[in-house]
Amino acid sequence: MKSLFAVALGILTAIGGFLDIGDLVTNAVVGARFGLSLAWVVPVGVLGICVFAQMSGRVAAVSGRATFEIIRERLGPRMAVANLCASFLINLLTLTAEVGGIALALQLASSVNPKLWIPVAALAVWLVIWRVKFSVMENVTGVVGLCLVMFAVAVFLLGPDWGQLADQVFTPSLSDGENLAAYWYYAIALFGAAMTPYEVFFFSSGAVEEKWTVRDLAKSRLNVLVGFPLGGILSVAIAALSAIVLMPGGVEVSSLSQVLIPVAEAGGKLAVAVIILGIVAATFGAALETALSGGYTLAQFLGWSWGKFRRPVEAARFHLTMLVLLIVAVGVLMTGVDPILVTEYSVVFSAIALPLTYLPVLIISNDPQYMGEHVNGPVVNAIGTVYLVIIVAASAAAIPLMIVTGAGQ
Amino acid sequence: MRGGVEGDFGRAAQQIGSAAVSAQLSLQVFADGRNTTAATDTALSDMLEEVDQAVSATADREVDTPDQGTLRAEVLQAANTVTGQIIRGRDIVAGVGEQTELTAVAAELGRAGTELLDLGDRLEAAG
Repeated sequence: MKSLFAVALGILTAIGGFLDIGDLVTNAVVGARFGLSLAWVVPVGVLGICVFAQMSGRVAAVSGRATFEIIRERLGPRMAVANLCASFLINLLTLTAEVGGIALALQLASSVNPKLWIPVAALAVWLVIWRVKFSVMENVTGVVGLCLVMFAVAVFLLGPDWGQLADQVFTPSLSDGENLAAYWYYAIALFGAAMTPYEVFFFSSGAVEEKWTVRDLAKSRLNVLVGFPLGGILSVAIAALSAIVLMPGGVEVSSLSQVLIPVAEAGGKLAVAVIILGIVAATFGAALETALSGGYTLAQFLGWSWGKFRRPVEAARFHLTMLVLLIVAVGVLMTGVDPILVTEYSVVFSAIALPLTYLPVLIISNDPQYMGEHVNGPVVNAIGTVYLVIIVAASAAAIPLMIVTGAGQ
Repeated sequence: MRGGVEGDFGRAAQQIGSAAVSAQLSLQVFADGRNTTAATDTALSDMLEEVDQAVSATADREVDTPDQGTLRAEVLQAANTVTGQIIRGRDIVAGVGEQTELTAVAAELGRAGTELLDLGDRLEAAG
């Protein structure tokens, strides 16, 4: 019974923890502009993150060490430093977006200027990282994040023309005034939002924090393979709401407040309150994960003592790194930069950095020296290789498309 | 992405039109009692910022011909109307003014928004 509860909690946490500010904003923007014609990207991204998250979790469970530690040892400092630079900067950008997201969600609840919420949000993130147990932190944000299921409920409450939505999904086409370059730019943004690099480093280091062993592999596989796809359904629901309510009026999504309009129309004030709670939990959880990922990658690269399973005084540089990252994020946001713009750039730059994150994971999970009999099987390797090709193509196309489309304009 | 002065004014008209329609939807759901004051106020404040950005871009854009100057004035005039209606809507949401006016304000925003989106499409095609 206890293990059944643990599995259920893990799945619920994975669903609630799947969405972050990048998914929320990108799916709403895409739904309002392209309807559901880019919905196919979500399952592609979800399958990719399932394969690689499960791979890096397996590396941690079998070797007892986080992926980034092994990358440096196995592939040398040069490869590791390229990986570190890309991951660390994307992490910082994502953390900035998430802290901004918390502030924007709190503004929706209070009408108070987000600049007043930004330091409060960052302080709360730091306090939780410093004081709260890893499992409590992860489970609470994940389970409260389940409030975002209301997005899917809202789609049903609106009673849309299902045939029209299915038509958008299965026969994708461009609406008037849209061009192919913008379509592919947003396809890459959606892919980057689903496969954000921090998720892999967090998953792997989290496995070490929770002291996973080979016996936990089945449970972790179930969490990922059930939880993430269900989280992906919520992504599609957000795009569907925009497609149903905002797209017909020619509304372009440029703020988080617009994401709430279809929810309000469908479910009224209660639905709005539930969604705001879910957004706060999702962005807060993602801010915790990105801050921790920043600490993990730097500490693991430099060989510092790391982990929340240690007291802060025993991993002082690890905790200091996260504090500095949060201060930088607050500093950037206080310049007045639009958090939504930061989010849009963070998902595209994530896509650019993907090969540096995922190639090492694929190499290490095939190394019998670390993995023993638990190296990748032929099916996982085949899928992983196909994804590597997709990732490299997306990464190579991202910057040219960004220039050609004026960042999706 | 189209270039040229007309293309730039077209994009500004679309941005303002989108903000107007978005504000209309926000006011409609609020008038129906389906959204909170805080969330509606935030949405309207966000749309005011959108219009401000488009106005700045339009006002700063140099024009080469008198026709382009007329176009710019047309976009700025429409932006002014939208800004006024959003501010009026915000006041009513905050409790200043008659709730019964909300429907009229929302309708005016919807009309202005649709016209601006059409203008934006025409200018972008010409740009």
